[in-house]
Amino acid sequence: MNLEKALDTPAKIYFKNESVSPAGSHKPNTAVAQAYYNYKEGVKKLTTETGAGQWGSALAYACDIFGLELQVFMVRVSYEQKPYRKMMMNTWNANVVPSPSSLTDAGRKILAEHPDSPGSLGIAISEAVEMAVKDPDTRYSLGSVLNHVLLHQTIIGQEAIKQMEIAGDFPDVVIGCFGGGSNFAGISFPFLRLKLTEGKKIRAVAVEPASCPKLTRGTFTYDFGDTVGMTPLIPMYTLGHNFIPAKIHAGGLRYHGAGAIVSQLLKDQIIEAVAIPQLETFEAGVLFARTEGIIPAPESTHAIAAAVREAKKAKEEGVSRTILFNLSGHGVIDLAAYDQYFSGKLQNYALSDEEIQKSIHELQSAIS
Amino acid sequence: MSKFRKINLDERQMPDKWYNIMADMPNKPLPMLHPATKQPVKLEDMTPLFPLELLKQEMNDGLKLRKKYRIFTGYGALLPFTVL
Repeated sequence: MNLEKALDTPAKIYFKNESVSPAGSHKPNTAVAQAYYNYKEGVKKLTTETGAGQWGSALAYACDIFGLELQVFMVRVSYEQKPYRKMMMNTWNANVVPSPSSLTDAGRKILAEHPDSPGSLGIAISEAVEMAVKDPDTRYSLGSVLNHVLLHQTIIGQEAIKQMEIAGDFPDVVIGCFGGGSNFAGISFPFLRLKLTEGKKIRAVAVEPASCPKLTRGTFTYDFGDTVGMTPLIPMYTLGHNFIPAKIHAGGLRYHGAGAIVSQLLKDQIIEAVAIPQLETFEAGVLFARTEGIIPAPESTHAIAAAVREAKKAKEEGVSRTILFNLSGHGVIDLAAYDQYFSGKLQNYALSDEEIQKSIHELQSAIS
Repeated sequence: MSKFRKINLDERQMPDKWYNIMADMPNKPLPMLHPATKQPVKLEDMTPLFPLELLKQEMNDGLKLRKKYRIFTGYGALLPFTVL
């Protein structure tokens, strides 16, 4: 591929293209399954959160197929950065509000304390959960983290295994960006099956933003999935549910914790994690767009940046490696982020150990 | 350099199962806990939030596999799905 040429690497790079779905990402793989089971059990309305809007638009598309009403709480910073996502969701009949909102007790409480809150996935989840539990005909739907969501996404890796078979190749390393775990699990779990059951040598690398580093700098403990504390306690690598990540453009990765399965796999050193700063991810995203033609979502640029690092390392070591990454979505709705990158307005965010410790300390007081 | 520019699967080649990695993990993930009791959550605790079928999938730690599911694939076709 042209990216290999541009990097002048002996490595072979493959990507699984999930950007061609109606919503533009891998998210319909679970959105449609979730909407279907809710529909089958007589549910009339779903609520959900969304960060960058990839999940919200996928669920809007899925709910529209089955005639379910949908209320989306979209993290405010993303709502303002990505207005076209809201329009996509409206086109598929969903109602969208910026979160924190005045529709819920959780949102009103946060707005009273922080009127300018940029929001977070944790806050939006609190709002969506609160609205769902108050109405017997409404259920809640989550786009990542939970076991059943990761399960639905495993068709990505299963398809990739078949495609690699056709290519006559097998990856040494499989890479996915990481927010709560859905696309990383989707691409990597079927390959990890071959590692766990047949002893195949394969590395699985989860790539998180340096500004939201729960896998590389977080703590493994029980934490809430949301900010207010309405969900069960989940065993996870976390930065603490009060942690508000910097306003990076990869809104789908602005989440304080990792799902239980991925956390256990990391703890057991079956997978690896790496954190990459925002500017390096956009540099890789632009290189990918200019070599392969597809403008990647800011989330997916994290996987590309890690693939670029692996390809450069292969060159330095003078060895050929086969690299597979998941292109989880396209970035055509995220062009404002690219515009900011080109005009030099994007920045990296340094996160101190003290900030992380403060948030973890608050967590320990909250759950003890 | 890889020889292939693009590899498409047709619908018949697409997987008809999901893969439940919990079945193969050396250490299963710890259970979710009820915040008030600090005991593992029961399926009934979660029914105000999720439909039953999704909760069964959520709490399937790999012991009760091969249950057949039927779902829409997302593109209009109704296919039988099995959990691996």
